[in-house]
Amino acid sequence: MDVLVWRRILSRAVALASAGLVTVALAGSVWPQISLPPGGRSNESLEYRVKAAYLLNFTRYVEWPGRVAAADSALNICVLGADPFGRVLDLTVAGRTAHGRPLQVRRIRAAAESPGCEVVFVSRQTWQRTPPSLKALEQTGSLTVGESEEFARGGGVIGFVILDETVRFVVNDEARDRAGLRISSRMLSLAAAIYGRDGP
Amino acid sequence: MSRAFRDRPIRHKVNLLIVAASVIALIIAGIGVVVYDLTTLQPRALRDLAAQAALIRINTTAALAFQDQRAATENLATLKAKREIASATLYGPDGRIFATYARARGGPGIHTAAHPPAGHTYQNNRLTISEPVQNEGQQLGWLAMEYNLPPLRSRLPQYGIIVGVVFLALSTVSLLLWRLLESSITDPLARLAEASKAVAQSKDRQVRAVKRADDEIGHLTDAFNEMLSTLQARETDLRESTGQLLAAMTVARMGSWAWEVPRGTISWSGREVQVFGEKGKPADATLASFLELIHPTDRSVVEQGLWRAAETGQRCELDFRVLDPDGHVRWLAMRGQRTQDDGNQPAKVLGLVMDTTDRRRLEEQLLQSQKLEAIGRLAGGVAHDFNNLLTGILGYADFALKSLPENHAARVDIVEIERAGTRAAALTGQLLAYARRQMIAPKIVSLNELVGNLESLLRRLIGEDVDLETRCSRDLWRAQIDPGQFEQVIINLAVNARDAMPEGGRLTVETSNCTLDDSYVRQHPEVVAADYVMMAVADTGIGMDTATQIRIFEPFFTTKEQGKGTGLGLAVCYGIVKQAGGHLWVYSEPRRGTTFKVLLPRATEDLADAAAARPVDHPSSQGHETVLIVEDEQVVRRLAVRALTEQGYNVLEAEDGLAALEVAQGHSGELQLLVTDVVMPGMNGKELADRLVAERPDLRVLYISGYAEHAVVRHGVLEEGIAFLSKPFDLAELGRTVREVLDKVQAPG
Repeated sequence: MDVLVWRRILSRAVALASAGLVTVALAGSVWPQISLPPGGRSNESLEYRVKAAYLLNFTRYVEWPGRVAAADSALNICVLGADPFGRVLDLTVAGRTAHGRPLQVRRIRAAAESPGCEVVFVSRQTWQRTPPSLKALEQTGSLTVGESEEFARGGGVIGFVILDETVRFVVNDEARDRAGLRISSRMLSLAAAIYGRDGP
Repeated sequence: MSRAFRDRPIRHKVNLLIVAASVIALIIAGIGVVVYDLTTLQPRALRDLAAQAALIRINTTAALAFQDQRAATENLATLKAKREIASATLYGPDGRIFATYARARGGPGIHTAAHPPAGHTYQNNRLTISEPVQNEGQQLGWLAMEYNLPPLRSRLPQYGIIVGVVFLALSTVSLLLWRLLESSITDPLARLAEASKAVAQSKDRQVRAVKRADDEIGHLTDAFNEMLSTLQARETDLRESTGQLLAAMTVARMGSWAWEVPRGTISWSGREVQVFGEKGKPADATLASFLELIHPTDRSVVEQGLWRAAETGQRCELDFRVLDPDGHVRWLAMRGQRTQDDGNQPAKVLGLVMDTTDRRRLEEQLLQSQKLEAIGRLAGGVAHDFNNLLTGILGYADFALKSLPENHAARVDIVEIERAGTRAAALTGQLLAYARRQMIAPKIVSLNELVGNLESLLRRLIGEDVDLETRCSRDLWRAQIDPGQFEQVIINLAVNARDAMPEGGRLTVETSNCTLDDSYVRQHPEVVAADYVMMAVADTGIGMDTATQIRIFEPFFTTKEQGKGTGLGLAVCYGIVKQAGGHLWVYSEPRRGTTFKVLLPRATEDLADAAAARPVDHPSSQGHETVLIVEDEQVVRRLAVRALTEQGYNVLEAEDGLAALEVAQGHSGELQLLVTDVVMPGMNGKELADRLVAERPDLRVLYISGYAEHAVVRHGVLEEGIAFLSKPFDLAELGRTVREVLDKVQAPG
């Protein structure tokens, strides 16, 4: 047994230990589980934790060229109507930045309040009960995010979908274009489907 | 540097140098490249890996953010293009493995459960990098990648191929360059070398190397050509001066010789070669073979002289004889000295040699004629006194015979005295003839006529065993000589020839014209270039050797038995011919006969009238006139006084010139004749005669003398119209001559 072997064993042990610590630290925080355990309440909370994280990530891969904002002005993520996140979204974006701007969660009742909102989240409940005018939202240049494939097909820009018990999203490219948004190709490459483009 | 390389042609050397320089440069460059590659391998690999990692990070950020494992795996799979990257692992923010890539299936990888600490490690040719993946300051996960450093062994063939290709390219380029440069470097050198070889082989100094450029080779070519010009000029000078020297030596009949003492060889050129002929020019003559060529008598002297010169350094002056190719003896004078011995130089004796044969012959001839001249002078002096004595002896014997009765017993004795005196007088006459002091009367004569007159006499003289042949050339020129003397020459030569042919033979007398030109005179300086009349007397007798030939004209030299000859015959001939201004030569070899040649100067005047010279016959010598006799020799004077007195003359006498003048003055009567000796102390006979004739114009003069060189007779030739009586004379001759002078018809005026 030479020194190198001992060192290798030691370094691996240290790596395993630190990996364990990180796992524990992240378990209750920002990083969603990769796969959603089936059923139950905890499932629902896990789903929205992932969606909150996705909303945060969207702000980072989407640009709003039509809006002129001060560098230090907050980038607003507005939840229209019913809020399924509870405190999860607030906790997720707390202290985070996108394009160097601090993120802020706002809750709005009507689409009319959407100016000033870079992201407008339309929950499943809101979409089923009082669907907002997506045309109006388009005109404000907001990134509209819904919770279904229909949302995207109906004129929303992004719609969350659950595939294989994993949260994924689809993109309506025409809606995006009408809203005057730019979405990073990296993000688009991760989309489950893109509508309004040639091909699927 | 090895000899083999040094002796190679320059083009090979340059080629080798270029190749060597290329190879060395290539090796250094190769080592440099390898060292650079090896030393910069890790940093380069790290840079490479970091760049790849950065690319992967950027590309997987979104996949991590949206938890798209498939996309992340696809992203990592793009690393397939990079061979060196062995594996890559993407960890999620929770530290769990999110996506992996391994180049070799089941190959080594770093897919540890937890990501390695940030940074890079290098171990076992494997570089590992571990970096966090972040977005907007948010930790999205970790990326770990492994990079396989290629082992040196796998890279060496690559290096080898590269070096080989570069080497080939470099060699090709340098060879091409060399081909281009060759014409300006080695070609001119080769041409220069060819030119120098041509010069060395052909000795042709006209050859010049062609200059192509003004570089060092061009300068070398210039220097070479200049050297050739100098060489050419030098050789021309040398050839000229050598040729001049050789020509001068040939003209001077000289040669040079050199004896290499240590090697023992001797070489010579010029005159010696001609003298020695072919046998005298061996390729490597030794001293011994040189000495072989020398006359045996002189050999040891020459050898000693040469060794003395070699050992002491003194000049050697050697005179020796050699036999030339024709067998003739030639005299050579060898002058030489040892050359300055500077250190290791082997000693050498060298010098000149001259052919002195001709000079020696001339010297001998001169010596001979001087000797003959001296003998003649002596003989003449003796004969003068003898003649006075003989005049007395013969005269008084004559008186005694006259005074004795016919039957007196003493008469016989006196006759013997008279006979001996006559013989003595003849001998004295011959001596004078040889000494050219004889009184002569030269006339213009034809030698053919003289020979013809003598032919019958000669036949009787030489006897029956010897044939006489005369070959007289027509249109023979005239000569001037005393005919009686020339007859004596012919007789003497014929007698001599007869004695040389005791067993018979042939005597040839030949006459011809002969012209001696300048070139002949140069060889025989005693001769004057002119026309001559030649008479040759040749016999087929025993001949004689050179030593005898040299001496035969000396008086009293004879090869005949004692008492057979006087030894004066040829001497007299010599004197007679010389007195006539001619030459007498002898050509002879033992057993080959002898030829005498008489050369007399051609005379241009007409033949003399022989009748005019005939003396008038006087029956009586009696007289009555008064005669004055002047003679310092008492015996002769008394004899003459008594003889003339007895013949009836009135005789006065005086012992010298002054006494004669007194006697003449004291004599008041007539004085018809002066008889006077020519050579006397004080006043000579001629002066006396002149003075007395001045006083008495009718006085006649008779000179008497035993000697032919004086005021009256110049060079033995009587002046015209002068009466002369040579001693010794007998009384009858005196009386007859006196009567002739008194009776001679006085020339008018």
